[in-house]
Amino acid sequence: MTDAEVMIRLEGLEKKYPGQKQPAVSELTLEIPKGEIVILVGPSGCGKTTTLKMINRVIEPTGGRILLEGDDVTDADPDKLRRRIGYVIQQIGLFPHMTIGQNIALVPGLLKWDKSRVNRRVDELLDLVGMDPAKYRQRYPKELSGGQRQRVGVARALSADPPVMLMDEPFGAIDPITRDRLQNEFLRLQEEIKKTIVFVTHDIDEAIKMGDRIAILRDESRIAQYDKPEHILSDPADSFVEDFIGHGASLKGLNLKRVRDVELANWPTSPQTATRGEVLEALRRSDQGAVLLLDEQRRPRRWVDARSLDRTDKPLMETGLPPEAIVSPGTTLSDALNEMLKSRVACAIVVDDSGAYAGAVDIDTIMESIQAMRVAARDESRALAGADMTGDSS
Amino acid sequence: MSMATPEPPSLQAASATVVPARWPGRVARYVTIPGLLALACLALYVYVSGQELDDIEARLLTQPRIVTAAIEHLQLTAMSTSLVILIAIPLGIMLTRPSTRRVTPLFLGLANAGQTVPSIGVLVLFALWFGIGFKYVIIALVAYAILPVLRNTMVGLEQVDPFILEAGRGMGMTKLGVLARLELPLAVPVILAGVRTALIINVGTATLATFVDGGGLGDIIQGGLTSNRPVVTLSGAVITAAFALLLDWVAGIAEDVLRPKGL
Repeated sequence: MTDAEVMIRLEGLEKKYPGQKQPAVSELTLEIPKGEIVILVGPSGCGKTTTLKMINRVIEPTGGRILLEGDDVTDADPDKLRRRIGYVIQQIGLFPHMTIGQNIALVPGLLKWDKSRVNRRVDELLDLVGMDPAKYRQRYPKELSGGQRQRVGVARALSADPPVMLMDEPFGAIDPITRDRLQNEFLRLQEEIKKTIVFVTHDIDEAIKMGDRIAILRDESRIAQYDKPEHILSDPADSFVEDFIGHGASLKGLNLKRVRDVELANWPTSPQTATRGEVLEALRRSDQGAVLLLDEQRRPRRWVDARSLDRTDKPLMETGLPPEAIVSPGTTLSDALNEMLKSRVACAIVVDDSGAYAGAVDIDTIMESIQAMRVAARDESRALAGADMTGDSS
Repeated sequence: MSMATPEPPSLQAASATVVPARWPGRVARYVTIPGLLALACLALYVYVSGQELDDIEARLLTQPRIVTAAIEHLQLTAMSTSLVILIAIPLGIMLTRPSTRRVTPLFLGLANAGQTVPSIGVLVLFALWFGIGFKYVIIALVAYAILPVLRNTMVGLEQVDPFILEAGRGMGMTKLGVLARLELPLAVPVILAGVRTALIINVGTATLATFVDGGGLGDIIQGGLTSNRPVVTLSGAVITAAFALLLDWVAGIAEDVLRPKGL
């Protein structure tokens, strides 16, 4: 791992509980590069949470060393160490008798920041996680929804701007729809804050979606494979990893690509003020089945197809179907595919930040990107195999 | 006591709906009890004034006698309850630390024994052991009422969500910080319930202090009983009951005020 600076290095880390023959974690050595999300994933009881909690020494290791930015922190004062490491747990653990503002201000308070700086930081963080500071600062945790609590949990972990964040199944106890939204929000946030994040989950799909790198762990926190998600999907190290990934590696691979990474399909469009004849003409020139009507800001307003044009002489804007399945460039292809399948026009509309039409994702787009991923993975394995051979012969 | 126990507010309800719905109920609760007690005392006053009191009755029911007895009773209750708080809460904190787990049953057993013996027995035992008078009554009251506060402190600390404590430790709070800023505030409602129970026990038991020369409102009841004057006994009983209910009312308000917001 020469390409990136190492933020956390675990050396032969071990945890043995008294009275147990098998260690919970044995001889784990792992390097976590700066600014990346590293996912520890594995079956229940594999020691992934124990491993995570040894990094901030909520669980004290019985052997090995922990290096943070090159410093050996294995014996450092744990309270001071933890103030440098953000910590998010599944149960969130917001303090119910403190307001949202007080919850977030806690660590800066421990670090003796002055009051105005703390207040500024609280507002800044609430903004960052998309919650209006004026509205939420004075509220108590019980007045928030699960998703909002999770956001506050993240804001609290970021309060003292720690370089490292540890997250233990942070989205585990949240309904699937909110979880998906929070995951996307978090990835967007990470693009801004560029923290080094160690993230534990048992859900391989979440691992693939969230991780820059994934460590698949088996019993006693032994690493089965530690690599980028696309390599794990295309090139599982052994049958354990293969079983753990499960079926549908191609579909899972769609989680790795975002709409902005692929060439969008071209569907015909017309201004909503166009005449019937102009729309029919646009349809005829295209091999797609429907035309998308756009308003002056190029926002999608209506799908019309040939049948709905023939059937009535109502104004254009009252025929056809309302636009469905609208996605943004940051959406994963997997989510876009999902939206597409739900929509009646077999196509997901892509809009940019201002809501203007930018293109479409249809089944051809998806097929092409799956093909491209296969080719890339094959080329890479060949290149690696070639490198190995030259390495052997020298 | 159950009549004065506040309904726990629904955890799910949003604050916007809780506050307006709560206030009229709260105010009514705060006003009703003292109103009823004043009415009872007034009725007693009217009844006693309408009676022809003989010499002994008149001597036993003078205003200074009643006031002195009430003040003594208040002193007995307040001092014993304060001492109970000062002893039982720190003890409860100590006994819930991981390092003291082994001796916990011993202390709980002692406190249990203190409460299992009938209150008059504790009073008399302590009187035989130490002597009679105000000071020794206090010791006996403390011994008798320590259990509810000790047990509630321990239960209150142990019922705090362990994930909240893990979050606190994981964020870099010291053990003492976690205790002072998370554990104790979150245990306050349960601890206060214990203190309220101790207070009620002490108000009641202090009535028996008269048997070991400790003073208090028991003097009036006892005076009526020994001189065979039912009017005096009745007056003492009504005043004692009103006094106890009034203290419970104060304790109820204290619970409401001291409970941390957001719980």
